[in-house]
This record gives sequence, structure tokens and C-alpha cells, in this order.
Amino acid sequence: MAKTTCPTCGGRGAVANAKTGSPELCPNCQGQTTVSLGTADLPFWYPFVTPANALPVLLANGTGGAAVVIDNDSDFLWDRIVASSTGLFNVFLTDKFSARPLMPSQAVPINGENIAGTAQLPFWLPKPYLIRRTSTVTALFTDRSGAGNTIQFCLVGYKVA
Amino acid sequence: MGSTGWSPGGASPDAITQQTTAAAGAPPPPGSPEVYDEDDGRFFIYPFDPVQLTASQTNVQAQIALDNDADFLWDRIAAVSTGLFSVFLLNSSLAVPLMSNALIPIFGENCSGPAGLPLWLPRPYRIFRGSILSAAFNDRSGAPNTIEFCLIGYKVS
Repeated sequence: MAKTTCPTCGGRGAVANAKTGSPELCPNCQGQTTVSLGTADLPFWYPFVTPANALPVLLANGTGGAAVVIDNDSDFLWDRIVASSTGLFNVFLTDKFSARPLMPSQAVPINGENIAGTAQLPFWLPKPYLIRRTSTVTALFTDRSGAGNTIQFCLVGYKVA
Repeated sequence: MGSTGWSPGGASPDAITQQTTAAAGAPPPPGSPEVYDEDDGRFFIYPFDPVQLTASQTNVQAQIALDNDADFLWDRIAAVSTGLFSVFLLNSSLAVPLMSNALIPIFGENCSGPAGLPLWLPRPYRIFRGSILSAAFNDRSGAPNTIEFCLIGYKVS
């Protein structure tokens, strides 16, 4: 979270008691000398989109690729996955910045219900994952329903300074 | 919220010291106004006025104008609707979208839940008093759709 010098104590970490004049721990920053700006971390949703700038629409048992490109104004602190689809699917995710897949093998992609929930009960990342600005995360979706499948798969988190 | 909820540049050190002293001291005398810690905020809900969409209608605009008496520390989204919908949110006052692509609005089920299971923002987002928040709603149900989409949180000084 973005921080700034505590405006209450001016970065000293202490303030003077109004009656006695003796120093006390700053009640604003608790002696930390900085406070969170609070407005810098913008809640944000990144849905995976196809190169045609649309949601992935899979044919029955078909496969399709999609990507998230992080905006160049901020890094993205990813802490949740939510998804909604018209049928079952599985997915293989890769962080292209580090060329690191987020699951062991493209041959064994992860079922959607094992990696995503909805807003009510999202899949939480206990350790938020920092994705650098302008970097790309790709996803390869495969339909498991045997019918056409439209998938909205979102990385949710915060734009951080 | 604790100490991080203090408004930067808000209260002076003296005022803070007095508040701290008062909180630790005796209860207020009878007849005085109710004393509560302003820093804890006051629970508040800002709804987008129930939005009425016709079947498959898109890009229906709605706005929330934040009250001028306090900033808003937004920590939840709750919504109910009569059908599936998608939404694109924008902090108009800062011209900052909350979603990456206006052409790909986020499905309602991916950004909101009912009050019992809302979408939580683990880091509450502070919105300045007087700000305008905009939303563009789209029906996905193919039938008329009434949506009440609420930003829930606290008014903080």
C-alpha cells in the first residue's frame, strides 16, 4: 500500500500531550512515521480476453486462448480469482513476465471449480501475487461440458503504486 | 479500521490528543451530545438507484454522488437483480475505471453477491466526499431486469 509521511506528527512518530507537553506515541501512525494513502490501491478486475478483445467462447470440447495484459499505470496485486461460465471448463495459466506456469503441466490443466469461485465465494490467494505493469498472464481454456461455453475468468485485486 | 482510518491532514495533533484523553477519561456529562469515535466511521450504503433494463439493453448509465459530509471507505459490494447482468464501474471524479476494459464489463456474479455473501474488498477503498461514481449496466438475461447495486462501507471523516 502506498504510504506518505504522517501528517499528524510530521514523520516524527510522536506528538506533544496537550496538557503536559510530554511526548506521546502519535495516535495516527502509531510511531511508524508514515500512513497509508488509502486511495492508491484501486480495486480492479482484469477479465481474460481473446485477441479479438472478447470473452473466450469455446466450441464443444474446444480449446481457446486468452490473456490479461496489465495496464502500464500500476502494478497489480492479484488476490482473488472469480469466474463465471456457461459450462464446465479447465484452464492452464502462465505468467509470461517470468515465463512461469502457475500449474505443472498444460497436459493436465486445472478444472475451473478448483481454481475459481464467484464474487460471493472467490478463490483467495493467501499470498497475493504481484504482477508487473504491462506484463501478460495467459490462459488456455478447454471446454469440459461438451457444448458451447462462454467463460469470464477474472483476476481480481488491486492496482498498487 | 484502527489508526489507519485517520484522515491524513484531518485532525490536528492537539485535537487528537484531546480526543485520546477524552476517550480515556470519565463518561461525558448528562445532556452532552453522544460521543463516539468518529474514526470508526459510520456504516453507510450507497445504492445505484434501482436500474431498470429492458431485455438485452446495454450501457445503461447510473451514478452515485457521494455526500459532502464525509469520505466513504468502501469495503463491500452487494447487489440483487431479477436477471443476469454485467457492469462497468468508473470513479468519474478521478476518471479512473475499476475494470480493465469497457468492452468487457464484469458479470454481476463476478463482482457482487447478496448482503449475506457480498464481494469484500480486503483493502477498503477510500472515495473522497463529493465524488461521482458511475456504472454502466448491461442485461444478460434477455428479459427485463431490475438491478439494485450497492456500495457498502463507512463514512469517515
